[in-house]
Amino acid sequence: MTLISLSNVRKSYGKHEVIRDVSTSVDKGEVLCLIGPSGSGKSTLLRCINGLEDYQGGEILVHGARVDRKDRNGIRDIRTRVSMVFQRFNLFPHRTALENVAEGPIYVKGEPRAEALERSTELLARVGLADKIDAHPGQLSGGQQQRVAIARALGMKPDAILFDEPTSALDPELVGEVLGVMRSLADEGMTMVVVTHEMGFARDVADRVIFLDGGVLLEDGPPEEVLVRPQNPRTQDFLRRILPS
Amino acid sequence: MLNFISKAELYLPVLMQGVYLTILVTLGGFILSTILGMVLAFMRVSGIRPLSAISRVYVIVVRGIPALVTLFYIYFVFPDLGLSLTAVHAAILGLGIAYSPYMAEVFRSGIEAIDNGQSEAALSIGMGWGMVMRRVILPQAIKVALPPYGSTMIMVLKDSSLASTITVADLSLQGKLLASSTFENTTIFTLVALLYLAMSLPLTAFNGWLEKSLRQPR
Repeated sequence: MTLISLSNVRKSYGKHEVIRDVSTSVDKGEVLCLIGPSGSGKSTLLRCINGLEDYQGGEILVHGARVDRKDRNGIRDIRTRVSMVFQRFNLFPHRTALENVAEGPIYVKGEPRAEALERSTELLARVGLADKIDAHPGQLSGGQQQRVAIARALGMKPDAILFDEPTSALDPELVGEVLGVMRSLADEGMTMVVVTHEMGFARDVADRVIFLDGGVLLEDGPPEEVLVRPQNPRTQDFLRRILPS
Repeated sequence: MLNFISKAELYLPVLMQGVYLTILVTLGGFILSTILGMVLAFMRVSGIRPLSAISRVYVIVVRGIPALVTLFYIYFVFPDLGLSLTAVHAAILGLGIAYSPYMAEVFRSGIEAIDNGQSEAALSIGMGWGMVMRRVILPQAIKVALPPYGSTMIMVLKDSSLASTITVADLSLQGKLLASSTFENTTIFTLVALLYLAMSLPLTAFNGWLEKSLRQPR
């Protein structure tokens, strides 16, 4: 079942086209990794899916509903179904880890407070932070903050989670704990779209990998094809530079 | 020094009558300029063009006019337009309007200091603009805005003395009247200065206390 579909999506800043005619789709339960050089438009594409950026051409559908920033209620509804995890975590610094996770369920979805707090506690335990529920983001390491951010995304009971370079702002020794949580989510069948430079993660966890360059979708296929036997010379070149041979 | 104290005992009760009006005008000016400033700041960051433009123009115009002239305008010109206010009301209104652009800029700078990622994260869990402001941006913006807000509060206190020019018998006017009838300039104006200073200290302390109590653990 198709959850997210993109058809002929175009985006430009003035005359500068950053996404050119991209079409693809994400099925329920699928893990899709977006790879490509910086400036290739992969983050922008991801942000278009939940309306943090607008797009000028084509169509993005989530559950058959068009992503349209001007349709305020529609976009809010889509955002409650498709959560986002950011490169720089973007936790709310004035709230504890628990409050960060419970914020959306209580104030956006109107869940009863006690229930939301209990569920949020469980989610934090699930990402390995049972002992940090009362900590403020400033007291946590980058890896811990990103795990809180993942718990916050899960708190919305989303149909899919978008990850925008979730490990790029982390110290190398903290990358593993975040990827570990993402791996377990994938194992449990969560639909995920992940912009990443972690080729190992893409190879092991992704069901499909997309390679973008200059806003153009150059490859779309299973990781063993895109990462191991890429057809396009640009992809081959990119992988040669990024993968230690 | 003993001389000063004995004279102070004599003049203080008269000056204290002025202190009451100074506090009244200052508080009124605070509240009005704070409310106006918040509305202006929200209009400015609302992303709705006409509102943002109105706010911008208001700030430029009102900030470019001396507070003294604003007071004169309200007290002397408004009656010609059919709106007569008492001197105290005119002083409060004038001070509130004259300081609203500064308040607006204080609040706006607080709001704009908050990283864009905060509102993106809030939007991404389905919040609308109002909730993003209330739950995420403002609680953080307040901390940024407090120090300049405190300074502006003290400026309002000091400039409440402008009310004396439109016949409000505040501390500065009482001082002036008393000095011109007794020729005790040194004693009286020293007392006036000390009284203003004494009123600003609680404001400074209150601001410091607020800043401290809002500080989050790191």
